[in-house]
Amino acid sequence: MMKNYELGEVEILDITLTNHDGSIKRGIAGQVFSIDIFEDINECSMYAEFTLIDAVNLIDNFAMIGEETISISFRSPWRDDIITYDFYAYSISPTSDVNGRASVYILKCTTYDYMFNCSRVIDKSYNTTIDEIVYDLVKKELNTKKDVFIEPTRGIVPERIPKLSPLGAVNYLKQKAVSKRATGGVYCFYENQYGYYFKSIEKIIEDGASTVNSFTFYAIANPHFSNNIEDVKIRNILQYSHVNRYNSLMKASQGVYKSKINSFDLLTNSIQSTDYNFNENKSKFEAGQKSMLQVSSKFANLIGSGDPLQMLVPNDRSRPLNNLPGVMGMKNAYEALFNDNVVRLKIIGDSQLAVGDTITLNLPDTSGFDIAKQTSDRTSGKYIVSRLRHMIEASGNKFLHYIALDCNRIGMGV
Amino acid sequence: MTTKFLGQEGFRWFIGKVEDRDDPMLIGRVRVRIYNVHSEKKSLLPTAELPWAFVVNSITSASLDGIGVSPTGIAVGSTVIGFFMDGNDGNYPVLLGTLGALKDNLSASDVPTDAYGISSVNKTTDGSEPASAYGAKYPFNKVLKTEGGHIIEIDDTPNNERIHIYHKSGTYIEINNDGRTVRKSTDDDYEILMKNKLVEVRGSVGITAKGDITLSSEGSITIKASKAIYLNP
Repeated sequence: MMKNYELGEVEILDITLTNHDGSIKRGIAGQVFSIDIFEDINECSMYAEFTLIDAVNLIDNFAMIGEETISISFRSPWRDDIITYDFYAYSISPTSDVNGRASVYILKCTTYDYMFNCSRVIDKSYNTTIDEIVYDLVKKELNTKKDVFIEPTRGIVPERIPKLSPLGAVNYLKQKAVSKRATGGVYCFYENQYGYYFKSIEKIIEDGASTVNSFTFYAIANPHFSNNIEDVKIRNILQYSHVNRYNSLMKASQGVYKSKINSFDLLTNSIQSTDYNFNENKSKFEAGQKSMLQVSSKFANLIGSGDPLQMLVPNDRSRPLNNLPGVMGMKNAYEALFNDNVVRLKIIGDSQLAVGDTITLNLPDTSGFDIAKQTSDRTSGKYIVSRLRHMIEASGNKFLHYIALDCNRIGMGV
Repeated sequence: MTTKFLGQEGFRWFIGKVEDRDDPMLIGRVRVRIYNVHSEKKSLLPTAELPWAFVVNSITSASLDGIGVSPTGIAVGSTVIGFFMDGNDGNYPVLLGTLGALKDNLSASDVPTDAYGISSVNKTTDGSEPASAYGAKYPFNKVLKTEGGHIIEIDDTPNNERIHIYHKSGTYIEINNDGRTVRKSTDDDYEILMKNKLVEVRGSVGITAKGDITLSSEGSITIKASKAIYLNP
């Protein structure tokens, strides 16, 4: 099968535009110039943009009114499973003329769920665990047909949802969620092609560990250490750059080395303080690569000898279970460390790749002096895909598929 | 908890209506149904599940060690304005004050009528009791009226300045514009002095009683008069 396809080519099985009442369906693959599908570990929903070169005046003849649905099914040639995305085209960008014969415009698209979410306000209170609240919000209130993957949270929390949309409420709750793990976990809520995820970064790393070997990317043109040259071609990194790398100033200012959580108790007008210190807590960081040196004990001691980053949070000891002040320092530090090493890549498209996946990157040694050593031990290793953009573009009578990725290095090593 | 730096992450204020003031901690907290935050339907969000809102006291109140003004003026039904101490999280409401307004038919308001010229006290003068000195004009009369019917007025109405302390039973003290003082008790009146008392009256003194008058002393009783002493049995 692969021999029929050019490297980077994608098999588009269907792109269908359906009008507002479902009475008219039209295949628009011929009008599509490019498709961008966005996923983000910090966003509750996917979204997409379809750039159309329209010579048949779809806007008038199809009577587009911003309520159309658009469906795309595709797969990478070496994949068996077909991936289908369904979107609402909620807005049409201003058009521009192409020699008076066609117009170019962008259909801005969101998911069914997000469209429904925008018109729904949660008006209820809960007295249960946050994971059960999240399940209720996404499965029952949002009424999604997608799968929902939720990491259990700690403690029963009486929650009054302050009139937020279902997805807005989950975003609100992720800040308050405390995982059953010792450090509390840094929760993310995101959507990809497989469903919704309400999981801590630690859990994402754990879950990805089992698939990490099947997502390895190489940044060298002619790798000689792989037995499967076709696989290496597909997994070739076309471009990469470091977005963040070992920024100790950022880490210091965000309390990685030392922080103090002052909790103001409204009931007694008193302050309770919880100190966080990196060296005292480093062994508690979970699910990282301990071999990856990210912070040295000596430096942590040096910076940690100064005044800590002081946070001040409200509290009320009459309320049941508020674990947050106790784990905020750890969570804060973990999140900052997670964002300490971010690589931006462009790769050959893979229809199965999704945000939240764990991948291995083999990045080159850039010293230029050691010819034999082509892979950098420092930068190569396991990463989490934190942002992803499928970029599918028309090229003659076929479509090419690339993906732009932001990948966060799984570190936490000391 | 998105709040990391209390007070530095924006000021989110709200208005709401008080539904419960029976604070089990006895520190003045009330339960408020906050508009556009809490459900209007009690079936979805019962009063008992509303968060307790803390109340801000005036700077004239120490709010310390039992000193100051008790934070107990808010009534069920009061409209209040406040802010969330935890910003957009909206879990820690703090009340800054109450909002009085006109009633729906615009014919009445939440302001005590005594403040704008309508005395809520119906005094029936009895015997030598003078008529009420009330003559307040808006906005000069500062009125504290409680739900029980007690009233304290400090009235700065020009040419009718007055101080009035009124108990719901009808007992009152009123000082009028001239400094004339009227004291009335609708029940027994006790005055207990642990030391001496000197009463100097530069006019006349009249004491009348519908019952008996008894003067008693563990020492002696002396009655002096510069002109005469009359006894009319």
